Amino acid sequence: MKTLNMPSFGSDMDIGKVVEWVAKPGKAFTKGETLALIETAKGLIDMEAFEDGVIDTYLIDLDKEVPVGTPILSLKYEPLRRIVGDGDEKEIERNKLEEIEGKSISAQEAITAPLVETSIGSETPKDILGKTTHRASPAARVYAAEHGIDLDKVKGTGPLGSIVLKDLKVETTSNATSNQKGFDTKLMRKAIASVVSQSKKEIPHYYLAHTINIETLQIWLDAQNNQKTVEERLLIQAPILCAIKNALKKYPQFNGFYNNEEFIAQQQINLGVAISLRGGGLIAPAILDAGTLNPEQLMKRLKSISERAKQGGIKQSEVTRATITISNIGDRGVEVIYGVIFPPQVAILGVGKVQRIPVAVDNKVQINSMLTITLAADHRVTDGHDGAKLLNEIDKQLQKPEAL
Amino acid sequence: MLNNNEIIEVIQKSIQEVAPDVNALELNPEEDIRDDLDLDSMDFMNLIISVSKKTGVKIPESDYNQVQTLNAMVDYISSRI
Repeated sequence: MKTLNMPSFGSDMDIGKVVEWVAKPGKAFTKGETLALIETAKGLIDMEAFEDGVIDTYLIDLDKEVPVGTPILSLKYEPLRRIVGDGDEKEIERNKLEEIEGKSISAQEAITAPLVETSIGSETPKDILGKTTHRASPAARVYAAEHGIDLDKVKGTGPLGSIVLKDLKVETTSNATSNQKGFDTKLMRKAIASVVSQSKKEIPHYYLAHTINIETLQIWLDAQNNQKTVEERLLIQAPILCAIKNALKKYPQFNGFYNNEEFIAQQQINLGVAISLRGGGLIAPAILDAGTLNPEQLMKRLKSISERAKQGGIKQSEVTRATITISNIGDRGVEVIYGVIFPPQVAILGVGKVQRIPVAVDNKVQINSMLTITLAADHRVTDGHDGAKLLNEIDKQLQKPEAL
Repeated sequence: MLNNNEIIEVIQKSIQEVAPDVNALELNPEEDIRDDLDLDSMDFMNLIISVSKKTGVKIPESDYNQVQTLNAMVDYISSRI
């Protein structure tokens, strides 16, 4: 009997609890499907199936905290084909699955598909029996648990019908204050404290900064956006992420994990994007397999993870597989950030605020758009010389935005 | 044709859509919307998309500096609607 354990979504996670079973006993699931919603200090994460299978039984109760590694589900080991291949009932079950999921999709496809095509769906999510399930933001779940609200009875008004905090405030009619927003900030603070302490204790950081003239990029971006509808507009983060992933292909020693005194570069580039949450806290889900994406595709994916980080629906693979992190602190009006590496990653890049400042170009003073990109990297894996090359390559990439 | 109060309602509704966890009614009309409500650039872009859809007024990026506060956004939209 094979079991699935409470997954770890990071070195800072010791315990987790299942707040909803999405997969049901006796029913087949496919790779990439969400099996359970797990509440952690990082918020609510979708636990994904990494292979096809069939649930046998649940091994723990809902809403019960268990340590990472505790068996939570037992599986029957029958390939999906055999279960659904013959017999009307089984065929119907398969059809139902396809009807709900659109088609069988891998975890990767689920992530790369546009938001409406992900497991969230454009309608209220349903389980494989067709029963309606609820999707709720972490803040809403915490609030519901605190106030004893049954989420099944709440109509969501958030993105894609998800239940958000204000839906619950209407339910409870309201001695709740409008400032009551955000996540379980204490828990999340504790998790962040744990991971940054470990990082600073174990990783010998070195820091570099490089100021880049992005006048050409800005002109290109303005021209692009002028031709686009409001919905299609690109934020400057999109071409910057594109330049970063191109540079990482040339310098893979910054893209990977350091474990057991050894660095292993990862072929896949999973760009972790630090997203601040209103009400406090930080999460850095990854744009998975970003290596082949152009700025438009990166923008779509950035939009998707950004919305889901705030409203719920971030997947397990997105919080565990980042190979490098990018912090866009410039968005908050700051010029420079020197980041703290998320172990086991070995680098974090910081993108500062775009500034219009006087610079010397061809011996003449001009007002140009300037941007400072910083690197904090693990000195056990690379040296300042390597870091400088990475930052210079990003600069080079940004000088030819049309080629990104 | 929307009057100013109706435009304010449209903007508040759009804020509620893009950031359901904030209270748009608490927004100081003279404060920078992003700072006051802690919106990032993605939230602000979604706000522009929503307001543009609801009012039919296209706000080009080059005019973002004219719609930084609630009052400024209302003026911008009312003069173009």
